[in-house]
Amino acid sequence: MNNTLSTNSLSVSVRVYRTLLVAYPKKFREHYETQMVQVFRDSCREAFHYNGIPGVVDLWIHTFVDLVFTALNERISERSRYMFSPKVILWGGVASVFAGLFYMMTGLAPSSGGPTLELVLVLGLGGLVGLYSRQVRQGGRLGLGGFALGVIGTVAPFVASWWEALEAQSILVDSLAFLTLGIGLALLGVASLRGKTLPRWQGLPLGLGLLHTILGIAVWLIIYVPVSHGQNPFHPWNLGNYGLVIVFALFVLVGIGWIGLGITLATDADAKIAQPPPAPE
Amino acid sequence: MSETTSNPKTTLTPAAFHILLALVDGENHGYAIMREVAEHTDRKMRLGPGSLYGTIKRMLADGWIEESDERPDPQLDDERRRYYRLTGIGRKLVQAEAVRLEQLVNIARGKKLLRAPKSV
Repeated sequence: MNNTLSTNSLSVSVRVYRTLLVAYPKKFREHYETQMVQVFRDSCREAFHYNGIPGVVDLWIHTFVDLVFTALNERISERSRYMFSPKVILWGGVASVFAGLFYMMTGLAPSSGGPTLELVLVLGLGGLVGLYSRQVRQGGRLGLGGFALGVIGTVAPFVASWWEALEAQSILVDSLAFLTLGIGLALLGVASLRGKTLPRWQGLPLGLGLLHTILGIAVWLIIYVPVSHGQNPFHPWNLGNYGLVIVFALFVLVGIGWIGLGITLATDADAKIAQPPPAPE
Repeated sequence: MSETTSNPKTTLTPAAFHILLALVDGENHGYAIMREVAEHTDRKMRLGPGSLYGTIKRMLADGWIEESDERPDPQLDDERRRYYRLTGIGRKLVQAEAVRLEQLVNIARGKKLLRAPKSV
C-alpha cells in the first residue's frame, strides 16, 4: 500500500515537473529536459525514502523556486543573444539615422507638417534597441536601467494620446518624454563608455542623452510654460522669439546626434567587443 | 568557445565552483554532482535541476567542462545519463579559485577571525 502510494506520488510529481519545464526556452529543453527530469525523479525518490511526503513537499518548494528563477534567467539570456545579433544593431542604426533626419526636419522646417513625434520616437526606439544590443552583456544594470527609461520616454506620448486626461497636457508629456529618453540615453552612454562597447565616437550616446535632456527642459520652459499661461509661442520666425529658435536648433543638434549614432551602429554592427562576458551563474 | 576560457582572472560563482570541485576526482553525472555539492556544503547549497543544468550549460560553452563517453560501470548505470568531466582550463580555474580562497582564509586567520587548523 505504502509502496503504491510512493510510486503514484512519484510518477505524478515527475509528470507535473515535466509539464512545468515548458517554462524554459525550447533549445534549453531539447538539450536538458531528459536529464532534468531524471535528476528530479532521483531527488524525489531520495526525499520520499528519507522523509516521506513532507520530504517531497520540501523538495517541490525548493525545485519550484529554482525553476521560476532559472527559467527566467534562461529566457533572458536567450533574448540577450537575439538582442546582440548584428542584424538588430544594423537595423537599429538605420532607424536611428531616419530618426535623426526627422528630428532635423522638425527643427529646420517646423511648420511643414513633417513626421509626427510618435514616428520619430519609434524610430529613435529602434536606435535605442541597437545601442542596447551592442552592450547587452557589458552594460549591466546601468545599461538596462537606461534602456528601460528610454522605452518609458518613447511610450509616454502614446499613452498620453490614448489617455484623455493627459491629452490636454500633450506638450508637458512630450517634454517629459524627451527628458526621460535623454536620461535613459545618458545612462546607456555611461554604460557604453565604461564597457567600451562602441568602436568609435564612444562619447556620442552620452552627448546625445545630455542634448535630449536639455531639449526636454527647453520644450517645457519655452513652449509648455507660455502655453499654460495662455500665450502662443508658435511664431518660430519672429526674430524677437529667440526661445523657439533655441528649441529648433536643439532639434537639429539632436538630429545630428541620432544620425551619428546610427552611422556608428550600422557601420560597425558586427565589430567585436574586447571585454569578456560575465562568468556563468 | 567564449573569451572567459582564456581569462585566468575569471571569478567563479559559488555554484560553478562547487560543480568544478565535484568533478575534480573524475567524471560524474548531474544527480551525483548535485548530491556531492549538497554533501560538501552540509546541504546549505542545494542545486535544483534548473540551477545545475543552467550552470553546466554555461560551463560547457566556456570550455570548463566537457561531456564524457566513459562510464564507471555501464551495466549498473542508466545509459541516458550524461557524464561530465573537467577540461584543462576547468582544472586550472578551480585550482586558482581554491588558492584565492586559501589566501582569504589565511588573511582572516591573521586577523584572528578564525582559529588555526588543528595539527594532525
